[in-house]
Amino acid sequence: MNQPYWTRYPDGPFTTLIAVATAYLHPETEPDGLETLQERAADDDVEMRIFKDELRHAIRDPGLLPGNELFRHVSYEDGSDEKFLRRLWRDLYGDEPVNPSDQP
Amino acid sequence: MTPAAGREAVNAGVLVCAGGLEDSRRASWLPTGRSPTARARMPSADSRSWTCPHARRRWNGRPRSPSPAAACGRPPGRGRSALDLAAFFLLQPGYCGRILGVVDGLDRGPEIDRPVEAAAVSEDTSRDSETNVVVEKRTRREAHADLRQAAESGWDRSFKFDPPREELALFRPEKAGLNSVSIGEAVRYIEQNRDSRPWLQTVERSCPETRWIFAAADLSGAHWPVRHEGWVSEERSMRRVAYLEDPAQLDPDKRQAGIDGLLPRDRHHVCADRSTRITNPDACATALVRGIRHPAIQAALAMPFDRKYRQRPVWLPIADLLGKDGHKVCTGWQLHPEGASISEAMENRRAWRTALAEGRPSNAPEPRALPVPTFEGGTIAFIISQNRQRTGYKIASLVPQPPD
Repeated sequence: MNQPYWTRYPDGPFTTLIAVATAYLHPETEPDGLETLQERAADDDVEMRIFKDELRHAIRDPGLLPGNELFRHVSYEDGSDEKFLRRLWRDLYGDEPVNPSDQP
Repeated sequence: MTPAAGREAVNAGVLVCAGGLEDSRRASWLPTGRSPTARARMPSADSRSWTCPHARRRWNGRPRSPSPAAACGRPPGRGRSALDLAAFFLLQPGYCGRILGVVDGLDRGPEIDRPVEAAAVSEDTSRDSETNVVVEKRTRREAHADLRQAAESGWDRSFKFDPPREELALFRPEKAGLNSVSIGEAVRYIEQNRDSRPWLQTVERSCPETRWIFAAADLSGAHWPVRHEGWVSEERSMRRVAYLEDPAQLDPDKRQAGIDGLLPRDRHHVCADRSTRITNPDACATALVRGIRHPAIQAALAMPFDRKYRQRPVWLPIADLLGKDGHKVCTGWQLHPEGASISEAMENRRAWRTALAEGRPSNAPEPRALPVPTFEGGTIAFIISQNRQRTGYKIASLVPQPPD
C-alpha cells in the first residue's frame, strides 16, 4: 500500500468518505479538523453530498468498506469502523436519522 | 518464567523478552523504565536483590559488561528467571555498576543520570569539562529504547547520510509554504531559540542549508522538526505511541499527563497507531526539498486558499526522496495489538490514558509498543495544512510510513 486509497482507486467504493475523513481527522492533520468538517457539512457542497451519502451507506453496512482502508487512513480511536462512522454521523449531522425514511 | 516473575523483572527494570528464544513469534516489549502507573514495590523478605548493598545505587551508565539477561534482549539462562539472574549478578562485588539496563525499581531519581565515565567516545558521550572524563549523556531509558530499536529493526545509529548540499541550497522556503528567511536570519534564530526550542539544537551539527530549512520550518509552525525528526529520541517516540506523551511537550509533568505541547488550553495529545521519525536532520531537509518538487505537492500548495478546505496528504516513496538506503534513516514504534485489532488497541490506549488522568484504575491493559521492523519500501506522508497567515498552504509535517 504505497499510495493512498483514493489514488489507487479514484472511482472505488467509499473513496470520498475515506479521503475526506483522512484529510480532516487523521491525528497528524490540523487539530481543528472536526470543527472545520462540521462547517463544511453545513455548506452542503458536491463533495460533501457524496461524502454524506457514502457515510450513510457505510453505517448501514460496514462490511461493504474496503478491507482495513478506513482505519489505516484515519487512525481513529473509536475501536471499530462502525463505532467511528456512527460517532462521525452524530458529530456532523446530530440527530438526523441515518435513513431518510426514518425522518418524521 | 512465570508471568508474575516477568512482570516483577520488568518493574525492577530488567529487560525481558516475553516470548523467549523458544517462542518463534516476535518478542513484545513493555515500554522502558517506569510506566506512569508504576507504584513503588516493597521488597519481599526473600528477595535477594533488595538485600544487596548496591541495590539502591543508581545505574551509572557503564555499558561495558551487560548482563546476559538484560539489554540485548536475550532471555535469561535456562530455568532461571530474569530477576534471578539480576539478583545473582547484583550480589557480585563491583558488578552492580557495570550492568546495563538493570536498575533499582524503587529509584525515583531524576530522568538524567549523574554523568559517569563512558566506555568510549561516541555521539552519546561528552567530555566533562572539570574531570576531562568522557561521560554518557543518555538516560538509561533512552539507551534502552535505542538498543531495542537497533536489536529489533536493525537500526544503525552510525549510518551516515550525505546531504545533497547543492540541492538544498536551491531551496526556497516559500515554495513549501514556509516563511522566507535568509541564512543569516536562520543562524540567529537558532542561536536565540535553542534553549526554549531545544529541537533546534539537533541541527547545529548539520550542514548550513539544513539549519536554514529547519529555521524556516520552525518559524512557520511546521511540527515535523518537533515530532518526526532526529530531536525526538527513540524513547520519546515509543512513549508517544504507547502513552500519548507528546515529545513537543517540554513540561515533564504535562508530558506525562498526555497534554499536547503545541496546542492551547491543555488539550490532550493524539497519535496514530505509530510514531515515526526521520533520524537525521539532513535527511529530513532533503526529503522536504525533493518532495516539494513533486507535481502533486506543487498542485496542493498552489491551490487557492479556502479556510474550510483540508488537503489530502501526499505519499511519496522514501527511495525516491532519499535514495535506495533512505529507509535506514527512518525509525518508528507501533502500538501492540494485544491479541485484538489495532483499532481496538487504540481505543484501549485512550481508555487507559483517560483513567490515568482521572486518577482511577483502568480496565484497559497498559499499552505496549514494538519497533517498526523496517521502512524499506515505505513512504513519507506529506501533511499539507494552512499557513499561519491563513493565506495559503504549507508543508506541516513529514511522516515516514512503513510498507503495509
